Amino acid sequence: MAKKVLRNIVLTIIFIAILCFGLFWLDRIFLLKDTGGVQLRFSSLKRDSVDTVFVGTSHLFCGIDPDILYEEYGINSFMLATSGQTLPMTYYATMEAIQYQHPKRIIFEVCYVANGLITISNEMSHYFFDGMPNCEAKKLALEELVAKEDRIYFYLPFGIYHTRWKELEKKDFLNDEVSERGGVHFARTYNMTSDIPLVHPMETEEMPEGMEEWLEKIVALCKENQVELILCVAPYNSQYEYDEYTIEDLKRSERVFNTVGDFAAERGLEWHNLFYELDEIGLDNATDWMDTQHLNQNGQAKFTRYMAEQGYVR
Amino acid sequence: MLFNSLTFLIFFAITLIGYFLIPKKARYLWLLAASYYFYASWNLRYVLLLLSTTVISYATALFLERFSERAKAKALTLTVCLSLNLGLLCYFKYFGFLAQTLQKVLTKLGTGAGISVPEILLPMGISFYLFQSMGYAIDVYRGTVKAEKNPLRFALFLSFFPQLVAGPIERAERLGPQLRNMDQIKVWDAKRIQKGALIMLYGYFMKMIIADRAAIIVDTVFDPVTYGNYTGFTVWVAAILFSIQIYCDFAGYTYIAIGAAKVMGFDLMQNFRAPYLSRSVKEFWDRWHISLSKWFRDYLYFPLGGSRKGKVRKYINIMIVFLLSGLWHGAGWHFVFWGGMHGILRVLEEVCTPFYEKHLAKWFHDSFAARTVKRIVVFLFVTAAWVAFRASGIRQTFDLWKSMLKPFNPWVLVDRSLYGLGLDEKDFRVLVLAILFMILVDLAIHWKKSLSDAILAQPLWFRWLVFYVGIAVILIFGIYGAQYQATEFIYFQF
Repeated sequence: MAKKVLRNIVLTIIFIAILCFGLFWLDRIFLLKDTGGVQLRFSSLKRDSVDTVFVGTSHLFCGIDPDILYEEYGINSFMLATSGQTLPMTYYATMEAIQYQHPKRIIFEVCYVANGLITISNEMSHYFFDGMPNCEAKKLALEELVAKEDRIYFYLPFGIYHTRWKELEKKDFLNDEVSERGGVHFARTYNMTSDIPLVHPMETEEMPEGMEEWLEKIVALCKENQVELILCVAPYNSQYEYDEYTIEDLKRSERVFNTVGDFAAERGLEWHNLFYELDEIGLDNATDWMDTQHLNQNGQAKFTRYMAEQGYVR
Repeated sequence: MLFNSLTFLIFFAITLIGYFLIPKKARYLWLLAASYYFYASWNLRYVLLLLSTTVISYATALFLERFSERAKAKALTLTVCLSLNLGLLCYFKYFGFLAQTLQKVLTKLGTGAGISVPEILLPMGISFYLFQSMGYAIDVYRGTVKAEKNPLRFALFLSFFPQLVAGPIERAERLGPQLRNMDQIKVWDAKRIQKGALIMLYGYFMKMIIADRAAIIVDTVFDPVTYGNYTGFTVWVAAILFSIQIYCDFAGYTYIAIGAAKVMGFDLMQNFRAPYLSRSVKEFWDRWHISLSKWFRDYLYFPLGGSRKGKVRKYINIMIVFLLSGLWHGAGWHFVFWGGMHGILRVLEEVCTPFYEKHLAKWFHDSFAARTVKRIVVFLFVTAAWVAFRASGIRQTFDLWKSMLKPFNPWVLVDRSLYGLGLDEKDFRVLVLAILFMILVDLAIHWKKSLSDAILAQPLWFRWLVFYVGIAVILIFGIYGAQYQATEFIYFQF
């Protein structure tokens, strides 16, 4: 009798284990790789295996190729920047990076300091959360950033993505659009017809409300965990013809970035404002952009090499 | 807490674990607590109503046994009980409808402006548990069952969560003994649990893959504002899909209920038996919502005299049952109209049977072709009647029927215009495949073959494979998630 009960218990456990594994596998296949590819790669890294982790927005993952860094400069890094990563998200990405990799340094691209966003739409939030391991950072981030009734779809994104059965393709099974180091490359080219307008380095503007507090939290988190924090901002332009983001917005952002520079200097942090090193980077308006805000793979290669050769990335 | 929600699955898992672990004698208390929690999860105030009918019928049964020798006192007690239960039903379900009707009539007469229509929240599943409650009182009155002395066990009989909000409407003589002998249920009966889980899985398949997918087209075509944009075969397709939707929705719920109960060791009554394979309206009602048909038969049709008081009286009784059945389904004249249609057809069947047997039977002797023709005819009639059920009123019903008759536009079946009704081509194909699978299952039911038994007779690896594939199919192709609110089962509103 006892033997039979034991057998039933063992069989039940095996059945549930296989079911969970199958659901986990399905979840990974159906996850939108545009949103979840990076976090999936991050979660499959061997623990404490990278020295440098990048956090920030699309400007950073379009600008820096961790594969070039490794192959040409031996820099062992991971790109954890995601589209529309707000400062609170960056804080939790930093927490996640420290928990899983405890890197020597974190390079934080501060573009979203200028727009002052704390939360973004659920759709955009999936770019950050999809594929993220169910860790403490994810739990805290969801509590902070997502309405209670919507959180279930961040823990079980299959509830949203199961409708993708009609559009599954090779990359969904292989997740080969994102490299093992989180690198992504965009081939298309946009002919930028005007140069990036620059404000004087001394021109500053106050950071939007709440941004400084989050910056302080990120600084404190890194300090507490003895991780070097490097702040930077990658250059970008605005499209005058149709972009909602106007030249005045861009100049205001640049003034905010200069304030971030002051913030970094006051705290002894390394700071790189790449808007003022455009000539040295050598970006070509005709060949190096995929739109007005993001570099394509040509621009990415130039920018990456520049960052490595200057020692900004190490 | 919908069956097709994650909350229910978590609730069911916790209920099951508790049910298996706690001492046998206390199981019914655990299930009672779970059932009330289940019901309260919709609206805490509903619980009072459930509690009221429980107290009324429990006390009635005790009084009926005490008055066993006093016929008048018994009759009076039962009358009070039925009046109270029907009073609750009328107040919560029909009061607004009656006030609205009165307002319309008086407005037509030019004096109705002063009548206000009250907004009364319809408690979930009210018609189901009030009917079960009344059925129990009548059974005790007739002496077919004994009064349950344990009030908590009786409360569980009325509130048993798998069948609480959409049936089947159980009988005390079936469910009562099972609840009383709960402590004898074997905790771990792998075959029983697997069978229950398999039945649940099929219920989810019907609801989430077929019913909710068909609903997308049905909702588009039957939309009360834009239905005029659709004509001919498009409306036919939507009407047929509604026939399938309502079947898969309701039967799907029932399968989940039966399966969930079976996992715990209870046998609920079968509520559907391949209804669309019926060859007459009478047969349809023997196969559709069986527990309600039997309720009306035992507690209304027979007491009215059934067929014992002559043909005319029989036809009147049939009409009364069907009109009330229509009203049971919803507080609206189109529901009564729908019931009336079935009633008239049932009467016509009765009236025409001698003529049919004398002149037509030779053309329709028992053959595959004849059976198929009969099934198609009954299905088309039932489908046409469902239009009245689904429409927002009698006017829309007639408009839709008219648009089904013309224009003659069969090309819509092949010119891809059906893909513009809310389901794209791939989803449409999934729907068709799922319906074909459902037909196969119905054929097996019709031939009295148990697919679940056949699967459970296979080796372990195959059984597991069926579960894994079934779960994956439902999770991938089911209609649920962020884009869709889990849709309520249609029959909850009754």
